[in-house]
Amino acid sequence: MKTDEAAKIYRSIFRKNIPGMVKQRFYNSSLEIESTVPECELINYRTIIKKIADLESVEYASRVLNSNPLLKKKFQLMIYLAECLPENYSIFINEKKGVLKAYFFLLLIPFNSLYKLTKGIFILKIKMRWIKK
Amino acid sequence: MDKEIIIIGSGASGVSAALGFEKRGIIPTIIDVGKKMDNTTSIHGNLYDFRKNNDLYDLLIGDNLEGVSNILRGTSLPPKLTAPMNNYIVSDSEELSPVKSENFGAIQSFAIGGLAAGWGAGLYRYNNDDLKKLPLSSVELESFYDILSSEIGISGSNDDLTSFFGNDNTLLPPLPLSKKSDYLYEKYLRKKRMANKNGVFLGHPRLGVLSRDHAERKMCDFSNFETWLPDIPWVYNPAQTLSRLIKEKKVKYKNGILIESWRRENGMIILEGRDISDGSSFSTKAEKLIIAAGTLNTTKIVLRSKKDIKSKLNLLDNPLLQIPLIFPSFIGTPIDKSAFGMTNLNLIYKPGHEGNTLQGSIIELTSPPRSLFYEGFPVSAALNIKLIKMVSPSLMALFLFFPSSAEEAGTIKLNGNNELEIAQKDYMIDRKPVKKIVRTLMKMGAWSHPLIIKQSMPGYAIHYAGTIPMKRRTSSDYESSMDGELHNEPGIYIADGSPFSNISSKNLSFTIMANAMRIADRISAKITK
Ligand SMILES: Cc1cc2nc3c(=O)[nH]c(=O)nc-3n(C[C@H](O)[C@H](O)[C@H](O)COP(=O)(O)OP(=O)(O)OC[C@H]3O[C@@H](n4cnc5c(N)ncnc54)[C@H](O)[C@@H]3O)c2cc1C
Repeated sequence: MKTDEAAKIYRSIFRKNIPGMVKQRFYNSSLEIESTVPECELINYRTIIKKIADLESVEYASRVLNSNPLLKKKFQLMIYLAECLPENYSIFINEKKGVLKAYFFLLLIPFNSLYKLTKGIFILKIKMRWIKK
Repeated sequence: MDKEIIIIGSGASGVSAALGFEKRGIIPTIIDVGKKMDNTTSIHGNLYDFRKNNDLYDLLIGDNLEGVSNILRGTSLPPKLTAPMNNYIVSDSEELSPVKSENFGAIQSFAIGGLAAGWGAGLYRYNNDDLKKLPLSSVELESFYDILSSEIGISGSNDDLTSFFGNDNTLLPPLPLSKKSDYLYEKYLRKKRMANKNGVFLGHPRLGVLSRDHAERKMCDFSNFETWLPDIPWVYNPAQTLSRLIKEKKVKYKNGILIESWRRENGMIILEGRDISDGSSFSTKAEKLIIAAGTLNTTKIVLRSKKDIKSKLNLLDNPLLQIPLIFPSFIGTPIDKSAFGMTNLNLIYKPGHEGNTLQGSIIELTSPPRSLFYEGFPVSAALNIKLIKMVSPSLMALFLFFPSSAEEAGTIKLNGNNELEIAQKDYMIDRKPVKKIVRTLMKMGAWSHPLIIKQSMPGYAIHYAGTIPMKRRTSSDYESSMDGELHNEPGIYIADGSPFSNISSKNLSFTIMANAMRIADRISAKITK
């Protein structure tokens, strides 16, 4: 379960395998972060991690709907941990001019967001209920 | 210890009071909790060069997860205070002085230098307009502003904001602007007539940040490390002045002591507290006591000394809006690696008709970690990371401060467990001027939208004031005289934000400092007489 969690979150954000150092740090800080939420939230989170393939959609929907605080926190933590590594420098920092590319991404946003949000809401409102039953 | 002049606190106000005594050769003792930074660092060079080759864990996260404490606790501390190396500024404050509140984010410091060890160093003179609801005039502060200005080294220029900030001949040259600020300022200069007609004025900030070497401190190196590293020499920190005063034997300094209250014995003031290293009790005598422990802790010491768990006192903080600014022509461009990563420009909004003058700080966002932007982009994670890379170089933030008076004030009281309780009244910021400001900025190439503007939780402007109003004639236990003396408490003076029962939209600290100096000067004058 544990190995899956870090690797799964990292992959859904960065579409890559998680570097060993990030994984180790993620687990080192996980206990602390889990202690900030009630038990029922933890159970819910574990179910999501175990049963849902598209974590990205669920986390996005959770941010919009203001639910699943632990999932949101873990995503944020993962992003901070990833930013620490020099090998991830170019993921976060733009050093080349890429105006067209940037505007292309901006054009993608509404389509991507609508798709991901609808999917995330469907998973949270329908699939999760079904899983919990 | 012999009877003497004691100042509580080594923050902006405590150190300024000490400077006031320096003028007349009186040597006070500063008693302070005075936490010091845990580890020093030899990091130098540019943040972005550093990032390419170094693991940032110790700078960004820290062994105790300080760097992600906002995520853990749901707070919104500024990134400068959560950075592990700067965390000493606010660490242990919950244990040393717990505050209960549901709607006020109380930020306290028990560090050497106080909150100013992590501040933005925007230092603005109050003019008579700012002081109009206070029994103080700018003439009474002017000479102290001047002394402080040459001690600190304030950069800025006499430009369109001079009529708001005052003509200051001691200014160091303004800091060179970041690329986006330069772009905005150019546009402003070209469209000035339109902007001014809308009540919007732009100019260089007055910053306690060195644009050239000053005293023994180095000028800004535009490394973007401002958020990450402690005690950066070009950003003024009262601890720098304190260290000079100690070296020159102009002040005695005792740290590690938390003062809790005072009592009177045979006409003497007896200060009581504890040694924070082992909890043992501490007491000392004072002939004059200057309390400059920051508004929250000064109020606590006063209430506790009076054993008063009933009174509710007013507490002010500037209402604050955080307005993201997006510069479309900078989307997809490389990050500005050589910028001063804090306030680059100031904005003043002055309506032609009745209405409040507002002050804004336009802040460059090249210094904080990129992860900070994640929450701000309402898109899914993978795309969010791409946006961080492509769009964050085009972002700045306008922090727009509103004035505060008794009408917006919250209340502060002491409870039976010696904890502070703060309750903030609900109030709505008048957003009409904001629309006008945003529209004007859009015409100058900086885009924003009302939907992405965030109102900060009360307390997060961190300009606390107003608990012990300054009055020409005092009549209640919680008022202070023009000399700073607490009503019916001869020899006890209040010298921080507490006496300011009205605060304008200009950041208050420089005025707190000048007033602390003025109070010390008045005390010295009486003593030397
Ligand atoms: C991120 C940030 C940015 C800011 N930017 C600006 C800005 O640009 N412009 C501006 O004007 N202001 C700014 N401020 C606010 C400014 O820092 C404060 O208004 C100012 O530093 C207050 O100084 P002070 O000396 O009154 O209190 P503090 O800074 O709170 O200092 C209190 C001192 O008293 C000591 N102390 C407290 N209680 C006790 C006790 N019981 N016993 C012994 N010692 C005690 C502490 O150790 C500390 O040394 C900013 C603040 C922050 C955090």
